[in-house]
Parts: sequence; structure tokens; C-alpha cells
Amino acid sequence: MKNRGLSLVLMGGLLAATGCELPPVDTVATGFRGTGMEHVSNPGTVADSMRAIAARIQPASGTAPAAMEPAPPGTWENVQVLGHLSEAEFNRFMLNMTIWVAQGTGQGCNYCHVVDSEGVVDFVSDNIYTKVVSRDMISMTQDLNANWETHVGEAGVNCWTCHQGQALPTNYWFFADERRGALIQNFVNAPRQPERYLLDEEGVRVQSGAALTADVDNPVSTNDTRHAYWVMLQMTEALGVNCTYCHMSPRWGDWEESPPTRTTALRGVRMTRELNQSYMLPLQNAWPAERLGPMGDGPKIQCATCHMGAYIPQYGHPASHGQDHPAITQIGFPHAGSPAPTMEMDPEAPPTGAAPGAATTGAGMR
Amino acid sequence: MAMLSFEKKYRTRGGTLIGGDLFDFWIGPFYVGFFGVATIFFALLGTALCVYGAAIGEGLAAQTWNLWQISIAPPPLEYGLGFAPMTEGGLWQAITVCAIGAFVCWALRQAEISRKLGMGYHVPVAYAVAILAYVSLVVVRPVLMGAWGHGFPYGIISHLDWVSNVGYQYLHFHYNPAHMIAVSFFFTTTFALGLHGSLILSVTNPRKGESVRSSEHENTYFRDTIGYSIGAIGIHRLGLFLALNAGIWSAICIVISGPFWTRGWPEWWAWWLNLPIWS
Amino acid sequence: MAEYQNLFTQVQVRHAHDPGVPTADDSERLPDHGFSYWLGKIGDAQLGPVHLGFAGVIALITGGLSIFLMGMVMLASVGWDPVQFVRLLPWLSVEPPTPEWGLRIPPLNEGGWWIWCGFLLTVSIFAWWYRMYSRARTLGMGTHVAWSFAAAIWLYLVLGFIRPVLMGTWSEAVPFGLFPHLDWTAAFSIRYGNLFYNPFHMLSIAFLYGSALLFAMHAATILAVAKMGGEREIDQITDRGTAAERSQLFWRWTMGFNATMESIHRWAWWFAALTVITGGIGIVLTGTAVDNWYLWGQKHGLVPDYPQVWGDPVPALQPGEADGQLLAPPADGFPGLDTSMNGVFTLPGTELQVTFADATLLQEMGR
Repeated sequence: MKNRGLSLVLMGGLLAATGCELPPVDTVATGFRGTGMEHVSNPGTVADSMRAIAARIQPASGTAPAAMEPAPPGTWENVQVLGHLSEAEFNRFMLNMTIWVAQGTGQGCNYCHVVDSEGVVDFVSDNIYTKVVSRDMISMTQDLNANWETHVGEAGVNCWTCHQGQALPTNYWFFADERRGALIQNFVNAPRQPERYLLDEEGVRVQSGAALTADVDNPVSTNDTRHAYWVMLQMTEALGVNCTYCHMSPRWGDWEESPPTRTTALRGVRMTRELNQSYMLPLQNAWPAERLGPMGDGPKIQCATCHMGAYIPQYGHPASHGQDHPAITQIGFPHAGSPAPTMEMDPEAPPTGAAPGAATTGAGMR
Repeated sequence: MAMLSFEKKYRTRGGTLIGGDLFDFWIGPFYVGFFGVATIFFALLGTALCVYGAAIGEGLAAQTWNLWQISIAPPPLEYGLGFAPMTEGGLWQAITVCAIGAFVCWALRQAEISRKLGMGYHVPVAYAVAILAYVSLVVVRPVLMGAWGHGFPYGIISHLDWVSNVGYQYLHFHYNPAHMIAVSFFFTTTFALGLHGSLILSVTNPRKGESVRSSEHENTYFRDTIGYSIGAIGIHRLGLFLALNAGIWSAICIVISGPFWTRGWPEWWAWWLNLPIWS
Repeated sequence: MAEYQNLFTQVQVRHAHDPGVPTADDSERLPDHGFSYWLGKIGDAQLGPVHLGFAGVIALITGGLSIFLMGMVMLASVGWDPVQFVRLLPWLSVEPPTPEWGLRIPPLNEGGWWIWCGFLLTVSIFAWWYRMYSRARTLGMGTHVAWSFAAAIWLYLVLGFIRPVLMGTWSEAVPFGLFPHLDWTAAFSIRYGNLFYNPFHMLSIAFLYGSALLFAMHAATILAVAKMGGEREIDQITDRGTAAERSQLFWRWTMGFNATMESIHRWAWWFAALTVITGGIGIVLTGTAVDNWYLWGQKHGLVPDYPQVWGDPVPALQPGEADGQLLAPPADGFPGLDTSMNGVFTLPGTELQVTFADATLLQEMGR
């Protein structure tokens, strides 16, 4: 009997050590009954991550004005992408950014605005990389809220959605030289880096449109398919979902058989590619060395940058919405007298967008 | 009546579990018994319900008599563990009751026949493991997950679609440790069955001109080739152990998927990578 | 109910060591032998003697060398770190050559090791097959075991040799490794439109499950009549006893049909052999004749059409929006990895000229 007790303890210990969960579970059907199309989650696990989100939330300051006139000429100097705001809304947005992004640094305005030798804040100066990056990020958020409603919805996103009060979002990616070393963490033997799909790899399809090999030329190998699998796995991990959230698995490629979530995801992939190409790569020369990856490239975004393990970022908490912030829901323009935005810090630098040593990153893009 | 030459002397009364002499008779080669009648009742009713379901196009976009496509689907998840209307999974519920009834009665009938022939209960017990695997799929796991809708549909291809989708609910089902064990048991069972069948055939069908070999030859063959012969009784104990474990671990691997693990199975292996002994 | 059900041996009779049936070459049997109490619980307690012979020695050497090479390649892939070797062993892999090598023999580190491991393993398996055949012949028995084994070798050769040759590239073969071969299996099914729609895969699974069913039925039946000597199958085949009669009647009365003491072993042989024979056919057709089993199934009326339960996405898919390309990597590999790994470049944001190794080092030192 003593042995039996001991083995029960050992079994229990093994279950606990391996992180097994306990019922009940939450399930949502993603397809017709009996097809096994289900989103499955453990309410305990989800509640933990929701509590973590709740603990991070800092309410944004103020509310959006019902109507707003752009600030009159001469209000500011060197305001390149927020010329559409009134002075009050501009100030509210600046204040919110110190909550959304700079809070973790404890520096407030000074995280992005230079303090001169006399201790006076020089709001005009661009001589600090964080301001250059912030401007680019504001343009990016305006772009995705205004033009990618198909992915981010009417609610849109704001800086907090990804930044969570920190200067750097939790998830971003670099080119990695040690692919196995990095990816073993994701429990896969990835032949190639799956995040590359979110930059300049167009196709991830492996199945042909014909039943017989005689009728089709499909050069994709079984090994290539492992790559496609890992591309998809980085997506499921980022969204906290499984394959059947978007796919009828016996019929992967068939759009007729796929839930609408797959279309939203497709638009998300296209959006992420465009944001990486148009906003992240051009920042290459702006980054200081400590912000670069092991191969010298700047950080790039991926699904997990915003989603952080939830199928809707922050499970749709209003604090992550952009809709109350006209600064980032409309495409901005330069304030009268300010230059048009440019991402180049150093006009002498060669056009970049590639990691050092290879100016070909953009080649063969979408 | 189709009776084997030696059969008559074995056809004696007695051994029934229920019903006394009432159903203690044979029809053709079949023994009837109370559980034979009960099995027929459940099997016919269940089959009739399946045919009815096929006739009304249950579970499909359009009615078809194509045997591959017919599918009797469980209720939508919204009905939870309650009863569903007949055309929305109620048929599946009724058929499931019939199936379990027929399977259990069949096992009890095997027990009666075992008693009649003075045999051990090994066959009904082994069959009970198969019933357990079925019940864990359509009862235990749905109950643990809170809805009959988690059962699998009754259709040739539709149940494969279900298996595929449920596998990909956990991203990569091959990483499920119990699935690994179950598959290993299936392969090992088939391997052992191949060896056992071959050995008996090779001893009773020797080289032309030779007489039938003996159990000494059986032992010598496996001692010569792999250094160990498990013996005539041992191979049947091993075979039963392997085959039943294939079923048992299959049941375990699906019951833990969902109720006890909702994420991808590749992720489960984190505990191994994070063991404190590596640092 | 606590009666003896013959599930284990209660009283072990320790007999003298059995040297085996005398043969012309029985002096080659290794004299070492022993008894195992725990093996005796379920079967025969005697260990050995084994007859290795020339083929056996070849099989052990080549097989051992193959496993050793796999281990070395895996150990090298973790920088010869024994702790990480154990930790990551399930993930480690000996990968076949990449597609550009076709059917040529690549250098060792580009898939050559896989060729060697596979070649040695194949030699080992063939030598082992010859042993199974020749020992049966020496003992005057039929060669059924060898031909059953040959069926399994067919599947092995299809996976690692026949199909890759038909496809024109070694890269289509299965890697050696625990999780990697599972990854390959999943990827293979996805690439070719889900193997569940492959009718030979269906047959193979049916025979695999059927084998488990058949062995459970047969083994349970024999154990149930073991008290009447049912396990002495050769005696029951050649001189039918009451054990055979009862076990046959059991199934006749249960399902209206019965095998005989001999024919049940024919059923067994075919179920086991057909598992791998049909499996091999299913694999060899995949990618050579059939590119998408789902579409094949659709063409032949296998695929059920389920009702749609969701509306269109908002906004609905635009014409051409879902058109995508087949997977193809950017030609330049990793920018910075392939082109500047050995080159000199300017550290971004500085004027420092550094090599790639310097850059990595600088990064490790926090710059």
C-alpha cells in the first residue's frame, strides 16, 4: 500500500511538473458540428493572461474631441505627421505616448525629446533616434488604422497595443544566424527562419490545384513543407489558437471550406509585410547599435508583436483601441512650415532596408 | 444445419448469465442467448437510424447515398451535455446509445459462450478494452469537455476529417506522448503478429519433403536468430498485452487532448527542455 | 473469480539448458546462456544460445556503425556538448541531402552522412534478412518469417530509396531522428493534400488496426483454452484436440464464422504483411503519380460536403485576393548571413569596419 501511495504521488508530481491542465475547457466551434473544427482553450490559462493584461493597463488620458480644426500655422515647428491635430488633441496624444511607450523608461517627454545643455527641453530637435523612430511609428499606426481596417477592424490599435508601456514591445524579430539554437525554443527543427515569411517571402502554399502529378508542376518538396509548417506555427503561437481556428485541416488550401478568420489572417500577413517593408526596414540607419540584432539588422514586427498570444490583441480590451485617438486613426500631414517626414538620419548613408552587407533584402518582394 | 463434425457434443444447455434456458439455443452457426437478442435489437435499431440519417442527408449539405460521404454528425457544441433535436445531432445521440448497447451486449454474449465452452474470459475482457476506447471517444472525452458535440461523426470519410481536425487542434499530434506510445504498441503488435503467424506457418509448412517441425524448432529458430524465444504460451500473453495496450494508450492519448492539455503538443515538451538537471 | 487465468507463470520449472535442435553448424552457436526469472514469468526463462554466423556479424557491425554515425552527427550538431546531446536528442536529426544534389552523392556535411547511415543500415537489414532466411532453411522450416520481414523491408526501401529515386532527389527521403521523422511525416501529409484521402493509407491503417484486433482475438482465445493445452498450436493443428475445437466453436457461435488453428495464422501473416505492403504502395504513389490526395478524393466522389456555418468574411474576399504563390524562399538566403559572414562591413550607426565575427562578439559583449 505504501508503494501505491508513493506511485500516486509520483504520478501527480509528473503531471504537475509537465504542466498538464485540468478540465473544464472552453470550446468554440469554428465549423459545422462533428467536423472537429474547434477553438479550444483552458479558462484558467486564459484568465491568467487576462489578469496579466489587466495589471499592465494604464488608462489613456482625456477623450477625443467631437470636432477638431488643425492647429493654425505657427503653432509648432517641425511637426511632420501630426499637422491634422488641434493643439489640445496634440498635447493629449503626446501625454498618452508617455504612458503607452515611455512609461517603463521613467523619462517621460525626455525619452524622445532632447534636453539641451541648459536643461531646457528642445522639442524641435530631431537629434535623438527615439524621436525619429516614434515619428515613423506614428505614421505606421496611422497607415494601418486608416488602410488596414480589414485586419484591425474599426476599433483600430494604439501604441499601447504592442508597447504595453515599454520602450520595446515584447515580441519582435531579427535575422538569426543560429536558426536551430533560436528555434529549438519553439520546439521545431526549422530549416529556415519562419518569420522571414512576414518580410519578403510571398508564397507559403505547398499544395497544388491538381490531383495528379501529370497535370501540374509543383516543385515544393516535403522539406519545404516543414518550413511552411513552422511559418504557420509561429502564427498559431502568436495568436494562441490552433490550426482549425482558420483551416479545415483535411482541406488546407480550400477557401470555400475555411472560416472567415483565415481571410482576416491573410490580410494580417499582407499588412505585416507592408509595415515591415515600409516602416521597419527604412529605420535601419536610425537604430543605435544596441537596438540591432546579431546580424546587424533592426527589429521587425511579427504576428506576436501585437497579438502576444491572444487571437485579438489584449483580448480586445478598450485600452488597446485606437478609435479615440485621431492622431493615429487618420493619415497625418506636416504642420505648416514643417518638412515632409523622412526616415533618413544621415542623408549620406546609402539607401537601406537591407541588413548590412546585403542590399538585396527588398529584392523579389511582393 | 451447418454444424462442424465435432460440434454436436459441445451444444449443451447452461452457462447463461441471464434468462435461464429461455434464449439458450442456436440459429444456424450462431448462438443466441439473451444478449444475442439484445445485440440484434440495438444493432438493427442503430443501423436503421443510420439509414434514416442518410436518407434525410443528416450532417451534409445535400443528401447522398454515396457510402463514403454519408455522415451522422454529433450535436452542435451549444447543446452541451443535453439532448439535441433529432436532425441536429439527436440521431447521433440515439445511435451512440445503440452502439454502446450493442457492444456491451456482444461482450456479455461472448462471456456466456466462454462459460458454455468452459473457456477463460480473456476474449470478452479484451473486447471490453475496445469498447473502452470507443466509449472514451464518444462519452468520456465529450463529458470532460462539456458537450456531446466533441464526439466523432459516424461516416467513413467524415470521421477521418474529424481525426485530422482534432489532431491539428493540438498543432502536431505526433508530439502527444501517449499517441507515441499507442502508435509504438500498434506497430509492435503488428510486428509480433507477423512473427508469430510466420513461425507457426513455417513449422507446419516445412521445406518440401520434411515432416512438420516441432516446438523445439520454434524455440531454436528464435534463439538462433535473436537469442531468445518467448515460447508458445508466452507469445500469446505478449500479443494480448501489446494489442490491449495499443487500444488503452489510444484512449489515453485522445482523452488527455483537450481536457488536460489545450495547447500544441510540441509545446508540452518544454518540461523536458527545462529540467533543472541541464543547468 | 480469483481463479487462475494463465496471465503469468505461477510456478517456474527450471529445466536444464536447452542447446537447441542439432544442426550441421550448431557448433557455431555461442555457448553463453542464462536464465531470467522475470522473463520466465511471462514466457520461457532461457536466454540464448544465439547463432550469429557470418551474416549476423555483418548485420551487427554495419547496424552498430550506422547508429554510431547517427549519434556522432547529432553530437556534432550540438557542438560536441554531451549534456545538450542528451537534452536535445529527441530533436536532433541526420538530414538527407538538399534538393540541389538530386541523386548525386553530396559531401559528408551536406547530406553525405545521411547516405552513409542509410547505406550501412540497409546492409545491416539485408544481412539480417539473410539470417532469418538461412536459419529457417538450416532447421528445415518454411521461410515465412523472412518473407514477412521482406514486406517490412519494402516499406523501408520505399521511404528511403525507391520513392526518392523516382522523385529524382534524395531530399525526399525521411531524416533519421525522433521528432524530425515525425515532422517529416506530418509535412508529407500536408504537402500531398492529406494522406487520409489516400486509399492505400486507409488500407494500411485498416490492416494495422486489424492486426491489433486479430492478435487480441487470437491471443485471448488461446489463453482462454490454455488450460486444455491450447498453446500447443502445432499439436492442435496436426492432431486436433478439445482446445482447438472449443476455440473454433467460440468464434463460430459468436460471429458465425471461424478460422482453424492453422488458418488463423495465415490470417495473421497476411494482416501483418499487408499493413506494410499497402502502406508502401500508398507512399510510392504519392508525389510520383498523385500530387493532391484530397483533390483525388474529390474527383472520385469520396469527399463529403458539409453545410456552411459561417458568413462571408467582412469585407468578402476580393477576386484575386486569396491568390497566392507556391512556397519558394527568397534567392538570397539570409541577408547578412550568406553574403557577409566572412566579409567586412560597417557597423550600422558607426564608422567601425568589422567582420561578421566581431559584430557577433560585440553584440554578445553588449557592444
